[in-house]
Amino acid sequence: MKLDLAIDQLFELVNQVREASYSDEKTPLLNALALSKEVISLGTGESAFDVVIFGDLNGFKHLNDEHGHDAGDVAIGQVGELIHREFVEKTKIKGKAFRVSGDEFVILIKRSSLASFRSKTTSFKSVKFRYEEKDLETKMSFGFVVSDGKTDFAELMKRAETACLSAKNKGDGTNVEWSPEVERNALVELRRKCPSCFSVNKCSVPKDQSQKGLTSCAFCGVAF
Amino acid sequence: MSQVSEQTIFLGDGLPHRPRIADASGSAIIGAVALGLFTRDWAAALAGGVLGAGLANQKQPLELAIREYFKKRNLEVMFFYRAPRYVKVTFTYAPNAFWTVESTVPDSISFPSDEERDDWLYGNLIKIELPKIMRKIRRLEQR
Repeated sequence: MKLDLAIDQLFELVNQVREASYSDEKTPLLNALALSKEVISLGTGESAFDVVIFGDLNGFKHLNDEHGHDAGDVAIGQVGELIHREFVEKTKIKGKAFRVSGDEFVILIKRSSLASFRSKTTSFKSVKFRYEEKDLETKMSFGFVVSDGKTDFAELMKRAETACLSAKNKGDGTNVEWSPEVERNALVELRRKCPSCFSVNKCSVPKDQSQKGLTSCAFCGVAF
Repeated sequence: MSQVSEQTIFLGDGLPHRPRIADASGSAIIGAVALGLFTRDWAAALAGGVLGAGLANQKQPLELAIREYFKKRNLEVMFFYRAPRYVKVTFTYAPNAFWTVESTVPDSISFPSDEERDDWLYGNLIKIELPKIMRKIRRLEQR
């Protein structure tokens, strides 16, 4: 009797530990480790998913700077909840969603769910929440790529990320599919840490103008 | 022999101690083990299903104690962070409404043990800091 109890508890523990190791700590989504496990099955053709979606929050740095990192964490949590609701559970899409770092999310879905996914991204135009005494909102845009069955996952991720930058340029709550044309007009994200005030400057510019971007610090005005 | 439960015994400055492990629900204990909130010895004993009187009478780890306290008051803990003399909890009290509460040991206070320091962090959080915030929330809701 006692042994049965111990084995049951041990199994429950093992399951919870396994679940915890693949769970994201700030959202109901999976984490980067879970994504790397999924990528292995994508590579072997065992995965049912063939669309890679990349999304990140718009204006997240501003939210963090203006209202503090706790408010930023809540924004991530709120977006994670919405992604879970819209693309993972209680929906026909039945995708798998991961928070891969900071404010970056990856969602895997089947091609047959693409139209449904595209119609739902407008929910991310403004995700409102109340943090302490302030009414805040966060926004998100998505880029995606449909796998051709030949391109490896790392390249698919790069393409989805490129498409996401175009979507950000288009507006909050939008989605853009990667195509050779999107790649040609792609924006690249430049980051530069100011040597004077140590602020991180960030901007998106067309690829061919990447040498010209960020000539001075937006925070203290020092020339780079 | 006193019949007063651990929860009602107060520290010198009137702050309540953390409750005993035996006062936590079974699922909370299992969840806490999975999250690594217990030390290895405790986890092994719990996994073996032999929660003896000695262990049952020990105090709950700080995070478990705080999570249990919030849960009993229908407040959901979203994020939990702790440092040796500091603890921070972001919780939700209504749909899409959040607040962060902190408990910090002042530099002027020193404790004979880490256990007593954790009791202070817990007691200060639930007796002093959280009620302040709940009053603010009620005022905001009445507006």
